Amino acid sequence: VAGWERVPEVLWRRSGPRRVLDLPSCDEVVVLDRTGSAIWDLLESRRDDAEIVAAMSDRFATHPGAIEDEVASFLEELRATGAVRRA
Amino acid sequence: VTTRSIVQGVAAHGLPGHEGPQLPGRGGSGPLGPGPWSSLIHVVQAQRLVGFLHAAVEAGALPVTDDQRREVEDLHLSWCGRVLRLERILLDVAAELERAEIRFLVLKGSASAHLVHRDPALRLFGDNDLLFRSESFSAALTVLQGLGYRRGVSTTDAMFDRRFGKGVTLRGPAGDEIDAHRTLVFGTFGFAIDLDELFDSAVPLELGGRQLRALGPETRLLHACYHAALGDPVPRFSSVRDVAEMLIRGPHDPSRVLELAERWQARAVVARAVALCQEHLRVEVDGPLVDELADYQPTPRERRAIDSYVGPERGFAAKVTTSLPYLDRTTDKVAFLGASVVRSAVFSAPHGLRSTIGWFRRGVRSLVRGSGRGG
Repeated sequence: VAGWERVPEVLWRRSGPRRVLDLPSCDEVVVLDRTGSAIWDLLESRRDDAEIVAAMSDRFATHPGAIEDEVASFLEELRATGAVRRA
Repeated sequence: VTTRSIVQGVAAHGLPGHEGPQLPGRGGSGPLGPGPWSSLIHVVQAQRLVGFLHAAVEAGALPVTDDQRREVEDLHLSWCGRVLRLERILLDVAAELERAEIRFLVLKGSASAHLVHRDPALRLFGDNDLLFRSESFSAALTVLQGLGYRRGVSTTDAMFDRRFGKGVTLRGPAGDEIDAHRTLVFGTFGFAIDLDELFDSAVPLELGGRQLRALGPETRLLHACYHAALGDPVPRFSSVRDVAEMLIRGPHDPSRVLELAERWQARAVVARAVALCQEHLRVEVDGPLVDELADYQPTPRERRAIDSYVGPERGFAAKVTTSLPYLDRTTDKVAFLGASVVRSAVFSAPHGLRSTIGWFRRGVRSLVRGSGRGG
């Protein structure tokens, strides 16, 4: 099943609830907020969309349907920066 | 309770058996006032302890106001950004060195962050340190210069750098610094290190999808000991924390460390580093390595050598004089002394050469006396 994974060239650090990312293609670091960082942490191993939505819904106690679009849009945004990729 | 004692607590935060930063009225009064807080932030940055301060605040070990918490969070974020940029530069430099087929090892900063500490965000650093083989040192500098790195005022010639020097510091076009090392410590103890063994001990360091190389557990611990014990008269807390972290959490083979320390004539250095962990972090470290070295009494020669780095009379001339007995061959001693005179003359130029000649004479006397490795 196709899933999402981190791009290995990304350098990053954990800073409390936030994640700081240095992307090969970008001159500035990217800081993920608490929600974005939770998704980043999930991608420690490859995950498909449904797994990510389910995990986020558990973590933030929300209905999966309520966050599906938001998660998909965040992942696309992250892909555009070069931080994650479809695998 | 002083700023120092709080910093000491921050530096030891998270080590087993350590209770956390020492605060005024622990269990009583609350956060520090603006003055002491500002002083703490200043020292913590200078000591490269922002990661540990952040962890202590996150764990609730250090009471802070909301503003102070935000300040620490922002500071940590900013330092994380800085070290990530340094690691990106390291990867770019590594690619160029590999293209030129120059082998190197990553030392300290990034290697410590990823291989020593449980979270690399704890160990923040300010530059990149690379170790090169003596025979490729000049070629490595050429590659770095090709990337825009420049030395500051050069006080040595290429022969000195390649044969006797510890290394050189270069500043890059982005304002970053690379310490290019040829060995782990200048002079005395440095001459006794088997440089091939450093490379033979190397382990992978995964960074940004690339595999670099770093010192193995035993040589890494010894390097941390050299750095903490001989780097500065009052060692940086982060350097001592590196030693404590490795002594307590490993992974290293204590008998291998002792065997290397014996062959590299560094038992006194390791013993001093262990003592510094106890003095500066107030943590009890134990285990076979500590048991073996706890009561170690340095020989007079070792004491003189250590003093040349961190004693009141420390300095280049003192290091040169105490280094001579550590060189095996008379030809090496003569070459070292000769090369050192040139270097010291450059250093002394504004003040004349009188002092240079003075220590040179002492050096010659030492050369005549200390022709062997004993004593």
